[in-house]
Amino acid sequence: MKARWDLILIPSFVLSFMLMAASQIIFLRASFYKDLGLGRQGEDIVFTNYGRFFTDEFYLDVLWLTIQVSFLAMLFTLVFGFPVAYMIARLRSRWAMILLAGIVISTFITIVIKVFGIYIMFSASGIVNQTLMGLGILDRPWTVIGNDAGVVVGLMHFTLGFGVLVLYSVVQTIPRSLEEAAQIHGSSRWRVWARVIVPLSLPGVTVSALMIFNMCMGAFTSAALLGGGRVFTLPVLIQRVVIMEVKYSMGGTLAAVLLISVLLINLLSIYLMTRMRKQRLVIT
Amino acid sequence: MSRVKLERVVKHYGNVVALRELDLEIQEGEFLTLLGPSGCGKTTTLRLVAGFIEPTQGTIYLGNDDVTYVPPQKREIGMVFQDYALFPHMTIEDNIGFGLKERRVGREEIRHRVGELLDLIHLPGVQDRYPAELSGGQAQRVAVARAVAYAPRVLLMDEPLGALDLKLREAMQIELRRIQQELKITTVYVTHDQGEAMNMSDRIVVMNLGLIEQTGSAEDIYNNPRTKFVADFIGSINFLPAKIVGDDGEWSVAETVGAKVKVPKSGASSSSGEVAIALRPERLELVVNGGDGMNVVPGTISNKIFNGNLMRVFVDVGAREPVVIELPPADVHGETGDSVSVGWAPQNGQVLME
Repeated sequence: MKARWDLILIPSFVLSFMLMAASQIIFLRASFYKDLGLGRQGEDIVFTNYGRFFTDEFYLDVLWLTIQVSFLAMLFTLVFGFPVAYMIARLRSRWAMILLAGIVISTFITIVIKVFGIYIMFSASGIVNQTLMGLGILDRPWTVIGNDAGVVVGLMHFTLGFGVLVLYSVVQTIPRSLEEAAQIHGSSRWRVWARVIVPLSLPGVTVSALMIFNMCMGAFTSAALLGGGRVFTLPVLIQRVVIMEVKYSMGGTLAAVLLISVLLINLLSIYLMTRMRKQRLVIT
Repeated sequence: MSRVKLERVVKHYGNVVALRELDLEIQEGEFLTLLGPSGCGKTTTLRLVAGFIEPTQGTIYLGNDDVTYVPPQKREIGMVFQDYALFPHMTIEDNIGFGLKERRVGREEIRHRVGELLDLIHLPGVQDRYPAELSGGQAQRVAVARAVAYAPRVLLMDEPLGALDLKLREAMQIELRRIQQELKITTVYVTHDQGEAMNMSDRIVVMNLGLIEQTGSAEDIYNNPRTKFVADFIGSINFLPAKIVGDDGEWSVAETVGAKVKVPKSGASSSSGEVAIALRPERLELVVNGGDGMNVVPGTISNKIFNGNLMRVFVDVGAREPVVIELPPADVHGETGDSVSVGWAPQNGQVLME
């Protein structure tokens, strides 16, 4: 009899499922009870937490801000990442491997260290502000720490390396000969982009964009550190509600809203993509 | 339609010399093939004409225009790529009409012209399909149609049949040649397949190590190879190591594997150094007795291979490799191990420099 090696997968599947699902279920379940303070919860199932979320402007603003900064960070990651990814994918020399290795390594450096780098550089007494003020370009320090722009920068710091890697693999699926074919048959560089590279990379870029957006929506560390305690995105707020205010139920509610809104945005994007594909606006 | 001319073109990649110094002229309406092993510079030459790369030195002309530094999109060239390079996100009509659209030709006219081109490549009615729905041979024909759609000055083809299987490849050779002759378009074709080169070309340029070894018609190159490399690359051939030892008026006399043979007079046959006598397998005979006026070299049959329409007989004559003779199977007398003589008419042996 043939050995059923695939059975080996069962324990790890059960374990991952338990860890993933169990924690989610406990959290989501908690969202239906009332916080009684000091971490205690009521016994009846109620929807007051959700009611509060959708009636209190503060919470809605937090959700909207989270979506905004995530969207901006995603957009800038694509804008800055795609040319880099394209260049590396089209390099013929071994520099391509060196650059990729550099990006992989920097991606695996913990975000805390990377964010502190920004912190030091952009703080009021940091090298950027000191130089700009020394040159008379700024008359008072400009900083990205503790405001929305800072959070976007922090999120980009988190996603850019990853974005370049994903986009690199997207560009690699477009044979160079297609660009040459377009060129020899009359396309300028600009037309090659418009008629070949953009349409052919669009599906891959869309998937990359969703991945980056999802990463941003759930990012805590960079948002918390560069937000400086003054900018609340949903993950930052969840941490605050759970750890500082010990309101597990409200924390669960916020987590549930985050999960569902990310899910809805993704489903909506996929739906739109499918519709465009059906109309042959995008290749399959 | 236009003549192409490369004048003293040199191409270096860093320290690597891809082309040493190339002079080449392609006549209007001519089908010229660049033939050689990989790394010989044939693809570099094609890409220089296309404009994807610029030469380190030298000048490239299309017609009378110096296009050395003109970008590809302004050269009015059509090109067929090895992997077809059809745009997967466009219909066949949009693929073939690609160059026309870049030249701002109107929709109706493109539609009409694409129809004509599909007739030319014998593939009518596929306008609305996508490249993924075509077979390899069909895709290649569409690629040709795309390349000639706007009547380019020159058509370039970079090993376009490399991805096809043998049968289809032979059919496509005839097809490509027909299209080329119908359009009378100047064509530069790159291949490493000598059969392909001989089947299609008006003229063949054999290249090796960044240099042109020989230029000529298929017959010319096959019958009168100028170097050992060309003789070896085109068709199969035997080389016998030899030394010129004399002159008997009409012929030069050479000594090879212990025998004296007559060879045609040529530049190489007046050399006093080591030479090689090149012998095509189909022009050799197994000589039973005498062999009047023929060159004869004794040996032993070491192997026989039956190939259907002919038999390949391997005869050990004391050279480094056995001499291969191709004969109709009925003409082969003798078994492996038998002593025989290999004979040939003097004019069929050619002396080449070692």
